[in-house]
Amino acid sequence: MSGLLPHVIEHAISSKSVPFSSQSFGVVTLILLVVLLLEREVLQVSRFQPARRIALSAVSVPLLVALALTIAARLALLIH
Amino acid sequence: MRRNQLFRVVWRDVSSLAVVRVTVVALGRYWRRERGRLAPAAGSGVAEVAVGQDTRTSVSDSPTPEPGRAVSRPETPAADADRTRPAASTGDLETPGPGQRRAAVGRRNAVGPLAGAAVCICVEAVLIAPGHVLAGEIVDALLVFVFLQFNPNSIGGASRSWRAKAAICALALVPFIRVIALGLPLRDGSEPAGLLAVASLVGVAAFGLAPAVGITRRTLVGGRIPSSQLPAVFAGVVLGFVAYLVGAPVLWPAGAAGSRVLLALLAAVCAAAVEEIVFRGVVQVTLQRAAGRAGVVAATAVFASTYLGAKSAALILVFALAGLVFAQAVARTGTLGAPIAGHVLLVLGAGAVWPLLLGRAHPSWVSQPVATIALAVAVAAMTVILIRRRLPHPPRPPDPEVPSEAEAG
Repeated sequence: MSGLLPHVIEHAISSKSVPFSSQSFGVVTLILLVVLLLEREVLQVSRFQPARRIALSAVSVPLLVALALTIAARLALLIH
Repeated sequence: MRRNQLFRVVWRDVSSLAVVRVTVVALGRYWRRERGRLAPAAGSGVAEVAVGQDTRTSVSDSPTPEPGRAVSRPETPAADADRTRPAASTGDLETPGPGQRRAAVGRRNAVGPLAGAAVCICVEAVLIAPGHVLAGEIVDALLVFVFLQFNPNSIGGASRSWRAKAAICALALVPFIRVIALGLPLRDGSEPAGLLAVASLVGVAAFGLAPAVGITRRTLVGGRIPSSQLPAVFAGVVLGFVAYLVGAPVLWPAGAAGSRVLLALLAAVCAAAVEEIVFRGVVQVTLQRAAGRAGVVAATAVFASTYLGAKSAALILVFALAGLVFAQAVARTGTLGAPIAGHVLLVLGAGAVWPLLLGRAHPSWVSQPVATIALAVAVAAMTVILIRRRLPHPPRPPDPEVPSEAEAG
């Protein structure tokens, strides 16, 4: 067991199909990603507060990977 | 039919990303154009802000500073105080300037937002444990966004203390773990593969966030284990046995293939190391800088709250006790080697070694209520020891790792 993947979250993940979870949990992740990317872009354009830009990049990259994996899983389900 | 469906899904996802990207680029161009138009008029004001409040921004953004512009290292709290001091009194080290007094007041005022952030995370963990997962994820996403706004470089935030802002920003990693775990499509994969994926992504986020909160990435790797930290490693071994006694789950199901066992071991080791990096290396260090011993206890409480979904209260208390032991080791020495080793030994002992040696079935002679009471007493005693024992001065934030423009972009 690990605090990174508690039993409740693991149960929630395993009880929902990939398309359904991508429409519920995935939407929250996508909205957070879009908001963080927008803020990061604004900060990058304004060339201001580089530390906050680093923090936003650090959080955005794993969310981007999660989004890419979700899309790949949905495509794989459709292909097979 | 299937091809049409595939085309529709691909078109929807790609077009969504394209729309977001086009919107962002358009907004960026508009913002840049507006800044270029307003720059001559606002020049004096910008310089005033850069000298008076955020010189690090001006240093990192313009490698060759303009004549007359202050160049300092305001990433550190001392410099944080210095930059608010008038230039003529910078060399005066005897009498605290108004900037230092303001920083001291800011540190005192930082306890409220910090405590609020820690309580938010713990309460959210309590809410998510009974099963309100989607609502919990929405709250987690909001917490991530709000906590990231408390970056040390921000001007005019709710807390004026650099250390408090760094601590709150570091706390964003905790709800982020749940957001990323729920955002990944883990349903058809095995549990170890999911844990490995979550640990990898959270580790990437922790290493990326560390420079922004004043922690060098080198300190997160672990390094050597000093002799004063060996009790923490030994405590990991002992608590692994205790966790086995009170019912820690075995890492792999009975009759699993060798590859599954290897994957489970790898995932357990990675997850333990990432937990230490996040909770001890980033969250505890920043909280200790901001609030001292109370920050260490708060970081341990946040760590223990992530285990609230466990089967038994005794198991939660085992990890809370382990968190206290590891927290004390990190608070005294500032290195992560022993906590990582101790946590790995705890997890491997509880989920692999002791079940192999003594059997997968947990011993029936262990009374859960008695074990729970004994562990609760141990946690309380360890908390009192941690609060009463004088910890060394919290480590000063290192020199800022000012990224290049390419890295920041």
